[in-house]
Amino acid sequence: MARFVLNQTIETAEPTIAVDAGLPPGRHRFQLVVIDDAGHRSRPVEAIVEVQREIVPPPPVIRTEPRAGPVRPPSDPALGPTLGASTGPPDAPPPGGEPAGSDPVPSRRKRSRKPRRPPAKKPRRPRRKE
Amino acid sequence: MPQFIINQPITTEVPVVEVTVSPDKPLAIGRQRFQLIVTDNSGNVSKPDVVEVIVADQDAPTAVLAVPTVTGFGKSFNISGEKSFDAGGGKIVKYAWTYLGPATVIG
Repeated sequence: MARFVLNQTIETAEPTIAVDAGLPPGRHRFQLVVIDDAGHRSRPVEAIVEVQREIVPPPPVIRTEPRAGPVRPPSDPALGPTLGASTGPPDAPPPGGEPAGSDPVPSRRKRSRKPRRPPAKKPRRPRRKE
Repeated sequence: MPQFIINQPITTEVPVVEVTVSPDKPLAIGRQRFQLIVTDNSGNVSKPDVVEVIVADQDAPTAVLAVPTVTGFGKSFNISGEKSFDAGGGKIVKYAWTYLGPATVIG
């Protein structure tokens, strides 16, 4: 493995060389000249290597498929506020109610009839004697 | 046979074109780049594709240097001159490597 020094040429008989891990991050220029068996030298050719700091990839995001059909938010106030309760339109149903569009015709709750009491009888006044 | 001038596109209706080089104006020795853009019958234009042609010296050998475009900090890496050649028929016997320092960013 070769430790390169700026502008100092290293000659090898092998066509590949390993560059020592000592370069700071950034773009670095390298030059190659080849020499043939007749002693002819090639024109110099340059190439740039970009040394980058390792970038740790973020953890993968796990996506789950949404459940089919509407989901009823919890109606128990102890469970906390429901999403969308404060961001919905002013005429949106209150939290804990039916989700919009799930039931186009709201069903009326039937009142239970109480049995009527018979009218209370007033006690009769005694007739005056004339 | 079209004569290419730098940065002046030549349009043809055939998929092959000859790069005509006159003896008085030869392509310079080294790497020369050519770009192709194609257009379909609806007028849609492709993205450009660029190739590099090495005009080789017939007397001296030609160096071809291959390096990794990006490498990790603190890691060693290989640079290669394996694709170097000698168009004149000679054999490459020596490789001279030089580190030229950080590349300056222009612009």
